[in-house]
Amino acid sequence: MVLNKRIFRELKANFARYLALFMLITGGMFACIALSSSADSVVTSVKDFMEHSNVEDGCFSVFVPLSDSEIDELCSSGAEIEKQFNMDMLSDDGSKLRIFQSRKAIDIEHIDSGTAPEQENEIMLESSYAKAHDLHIGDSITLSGKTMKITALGVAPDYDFLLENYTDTAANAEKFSIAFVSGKGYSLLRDVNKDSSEEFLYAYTLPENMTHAQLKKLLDGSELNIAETDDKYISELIDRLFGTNGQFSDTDFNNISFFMQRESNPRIGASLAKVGMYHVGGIITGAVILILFAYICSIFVIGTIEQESQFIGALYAMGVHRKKIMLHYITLPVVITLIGGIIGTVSGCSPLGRGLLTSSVIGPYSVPQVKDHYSVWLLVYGILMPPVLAAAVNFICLRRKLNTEPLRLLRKEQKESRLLNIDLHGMGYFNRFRIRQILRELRITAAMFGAIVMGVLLLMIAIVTYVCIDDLAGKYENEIPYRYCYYMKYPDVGNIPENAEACYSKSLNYTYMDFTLQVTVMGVEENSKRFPFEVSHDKNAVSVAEGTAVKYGLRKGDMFCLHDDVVGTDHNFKVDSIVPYSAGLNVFMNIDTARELFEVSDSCYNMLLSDEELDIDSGRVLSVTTRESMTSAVETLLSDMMPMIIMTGVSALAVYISVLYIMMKMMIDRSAFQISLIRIFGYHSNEIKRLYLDGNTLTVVISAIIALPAAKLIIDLIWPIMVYNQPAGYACEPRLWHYAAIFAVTMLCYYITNSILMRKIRRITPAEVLKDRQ
Amino acid sequence: MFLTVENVKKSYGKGDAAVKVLDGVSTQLEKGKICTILGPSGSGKTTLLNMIGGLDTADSGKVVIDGKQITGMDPVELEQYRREYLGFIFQFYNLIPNLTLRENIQVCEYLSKESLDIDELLETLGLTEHQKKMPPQVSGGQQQRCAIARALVKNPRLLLCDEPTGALDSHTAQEILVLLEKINQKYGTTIIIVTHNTVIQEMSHKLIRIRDGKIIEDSERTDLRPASSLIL
Amino acid sequence: MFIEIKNAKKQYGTGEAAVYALDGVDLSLEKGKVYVILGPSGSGKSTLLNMIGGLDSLDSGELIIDGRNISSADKKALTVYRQEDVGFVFQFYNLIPDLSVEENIEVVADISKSPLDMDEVLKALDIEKYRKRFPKELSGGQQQRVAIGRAMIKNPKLLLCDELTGALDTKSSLAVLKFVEKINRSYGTTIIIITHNEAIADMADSVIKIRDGKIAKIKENPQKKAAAELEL
Repeated sequence: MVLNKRIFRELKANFARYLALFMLITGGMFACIALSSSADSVVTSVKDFMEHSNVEDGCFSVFVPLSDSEIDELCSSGAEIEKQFNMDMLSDDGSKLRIFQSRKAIDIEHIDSGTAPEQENEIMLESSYAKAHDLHIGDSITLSGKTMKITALGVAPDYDFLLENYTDTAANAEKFSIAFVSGKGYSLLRDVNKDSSEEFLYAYTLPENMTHAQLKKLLDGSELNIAETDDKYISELIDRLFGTNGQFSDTDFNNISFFMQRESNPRIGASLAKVGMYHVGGIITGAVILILFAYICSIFVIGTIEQESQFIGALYAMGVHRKKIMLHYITLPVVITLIGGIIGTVSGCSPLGRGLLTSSVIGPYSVPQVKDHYSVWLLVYGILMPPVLAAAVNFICLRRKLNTEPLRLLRKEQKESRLLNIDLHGMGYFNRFRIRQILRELRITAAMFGAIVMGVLLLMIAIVTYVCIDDLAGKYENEIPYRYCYYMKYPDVGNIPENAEACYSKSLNYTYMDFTLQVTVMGVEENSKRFPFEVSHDKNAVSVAEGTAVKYGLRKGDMFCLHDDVVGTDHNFKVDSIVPYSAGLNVFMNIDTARELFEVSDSCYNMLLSDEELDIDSGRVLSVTTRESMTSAVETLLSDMMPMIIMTGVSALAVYISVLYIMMKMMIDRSAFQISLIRIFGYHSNEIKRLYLDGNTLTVVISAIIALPAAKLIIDLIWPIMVYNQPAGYACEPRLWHYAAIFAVTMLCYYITNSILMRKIRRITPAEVLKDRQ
Repeated sequence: MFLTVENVKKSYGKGDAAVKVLDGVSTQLEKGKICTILGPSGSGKTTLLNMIGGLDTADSGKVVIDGKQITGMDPVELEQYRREYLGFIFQFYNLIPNLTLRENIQVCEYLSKESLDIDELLETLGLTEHQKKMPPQVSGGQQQRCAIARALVKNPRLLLCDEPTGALDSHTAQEILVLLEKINQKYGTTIIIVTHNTVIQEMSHKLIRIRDGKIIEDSERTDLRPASSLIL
Repeated sequence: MFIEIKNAKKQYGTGEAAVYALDGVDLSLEKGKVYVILGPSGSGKSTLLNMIGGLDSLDSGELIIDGRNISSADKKALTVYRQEDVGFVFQFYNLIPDLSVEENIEVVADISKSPLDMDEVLKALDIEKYRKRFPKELSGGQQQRVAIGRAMIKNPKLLLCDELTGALDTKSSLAVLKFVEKINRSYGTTIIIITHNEAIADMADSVIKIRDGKIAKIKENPQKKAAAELEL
């Protein structure tokens, strides 16, 4: 159709504007699709990995290793059980590695590069740890004085999230990770290990018709075969606890010290939850960006239609169909978004695009090398969504404009708008003019408002993310009242070192929003110096740490239910009070109350807190955690998030400057005639600026003022969803000066745009009006 | 002499394609007179008006108004000159469509320190009851009257009119011319009207005919007719 | 009878502000003739033209064109009617500025079932040498001829002209009217011209005077003047 030749000419005439829009759409789609695509690849890779490695259905630890006959009995039910005995060892630089034997059946580790360790001095390191320490295959690492040669790098599915303790908040691959050795190597290391004792961990998979509870029941019947173990400590403990010499009934002492189903295990599949969010987030953000830009396109088109209404009317008069005209005007926006979408999507899905964000997306998680997964669906979405949305948005916006009677178009009649005609008496001349200008350009104003809301939201997300994590790191630094925390291998009585405080703690499951995390019940000493607040003395009530209360929206008087996987019981607690503590997820009660609740003997403890390193036999200690490592883990989280935070902030600025510029420039272009006219009358450039540009100051200020609380509201709503899988209570508290900073950035972008456009005003001469003669 | 135009030349284009729009134009106008500039399209009449209005720059020659030399001023000085001295009326009214009629007049009221009273002007021009309406809501004649009010509100010494009746039917056109005459008599405003309508000359004190960039007639008219008697 | 109008009524606005644009118009028009409809502004002449052209609908009354009852046609049928049978020429040409002369005409040729030959039409209107030019490069008269060409390319039965010389000077107006006359002779198109310029009436076969929404007078012109002889 001849009419379509105009499209090329329109494109040429307004090239800069369409180019800007094209680049925005391409950039936006690239970012969103790259994010979604890398997330999708990671998710697919991880899921694949979990399946191929035969990831466990659950795991449990025992005080005394199971006998072979016991294991056979369990397996006869159809379950599969594999030993995953492990111990923590320190390397030269103080970082910690949890050493496992290579697995054969369950949780089989995946080798990214190299060959599995076979000799007794060979070791396989987890990939992110190796990266953090710049270790490669062929290098050596020294553990407890023993030098091991690195033969492989890889990951394991049961440590997707490298938490040292499953109650930890964050992982730091530099300070803690896992490693695998052959059977020979494990024996060797166990002999030299002075740093800690061995954990007797088993992993299991269930057959189809068996439940976790059923397996647990079988396990409960396990006998304590003191003879099977050469661990002198357990014998000692039994003596101390029961006073007899090996004579006690099974019911007095449960061999199971720990039981966890996969669903409750924060180390397994954590990446899926987190990364899954990026996938969804990218898709939604893409759609929102598109709608904003399609709307801006429609503003251009409507402006064009208004200018061209006379000959559109003439064409209607000649019998040209409305549909043809509509199609003609929709073509350019649809084509631009189609091409921009295609380029943005294809490049976003390309190795370049995915590579850009993959490391941010993976973050702290330990996953196998991500295989490129080309999601056809994502490709289709990225290619189809932009033009479809553009067509829909423009169709809706143009419909009314084009449905006018040909006569009215010919006469260039404006709709009787009561809004346009409102009586503004009582206002100063300049203000009235500015308000009428805003009313006239309502669509442009609306687009600016939309852009500002989006920009404010993005800036706030960036700031809040930074602040929350930074705050938390600060809280860990300041609130954790100990430097060292020793997890005892066996619940013990007596033998408490000087300057150490004993606690009895138990980690229970809390399921909230369909996600299970570990909440620790901390039984603390009366008048504890480390936890100087009042705690509950009622075994049916707990004092909830502030961070935990914030995360779960718990208030005094609320009831909530924690589940004990090991014993298989539920505990219904009432919230007795909220206490000031923010590290991890904790609830407090008096230690005696806790002992009563968990039915252990008086003076029993399983955790020691101190400010100096304690001189305890490593055989009594399961693991040690330091405040320093917990804090640095959170700090690592922050630096992992920085690329994302910065990208979000930069996107906000890009949205601001580009949209504000395009829209305000359009306002001036549409007013070029009027500006030319009043210049003829003798208006100077700065007066023109005050009339035509500065009205926007009001728009921007009001938009920002509305956007700030609106953004906070939106974030308050989505924040719990964004952090639902984080085992800590992140309070989202932007400070006042953050709001002020966002406001200032917004106004700054506006003023920059304003001054750039001032130059354009200066260039508008009286010529515009003078050209308009017959 | 209020207005002096001395040998003004203006051409567009270069070399062979150069068009001499004004080819050495000279004339004078007394204060408080009405002058009609007649000529076919392309004769240079509009360019001459633009020169006087400080909207276009001459290649050579001088334009002096009330002792001020317009030719040679920079754009900012010209803006100031137009602001202080001139009122403009166009063929197609050129009102700002999203301001009320009253606000349209205020656009120019703002520019002057000794502006006329808007209410009085509205009354004189018969627009009082329409002042809160928007231009698209009133007829062509009313729009042109509003444009005239806008041009007059700053009590300009010189009123430049480019085909003021060109878009109006004969009845309304006459009303407008009667108005212009009234203003000239009441306020002593010097008026220059550019048109191709030969009848308008009959109400003017001075007639300038221009053709191909040259003035071919420059006469003082003695037998003026009142605007109401013109047959348009 | 080619066009039959019986007791056509059209009202705008409601209640006190109601205006009867057409207040009981009866009219019969023959095929192949040139009609001029005269009237002051607000007389209803534009409304009448828009009715005949299918751009607006009657409140009551009948409008039958070439046997087709237009008054009761729905929007779709009206579009078809305009597409096939009617060509419009407006006062301000309304050409598409970024399409060439040829392309402007082509837009309408595209929707026509059996358009005339492009070269023939360009030649007939003496605009062949401008075919690749753009509207802003042409004078008013030339642009109007292009507009006529655009209307004529679909060989309509009816050519409706709304103040087609309103924006043109005398010379161009004459030229355009000559072409309109030529079209009437060559193609037998029925021509209806709306104007307030009485001089044009001399070239019509029949002059219809309309006032206040009613037909005031119909004057047959057995000795109509040739367009070249008009005294504009």
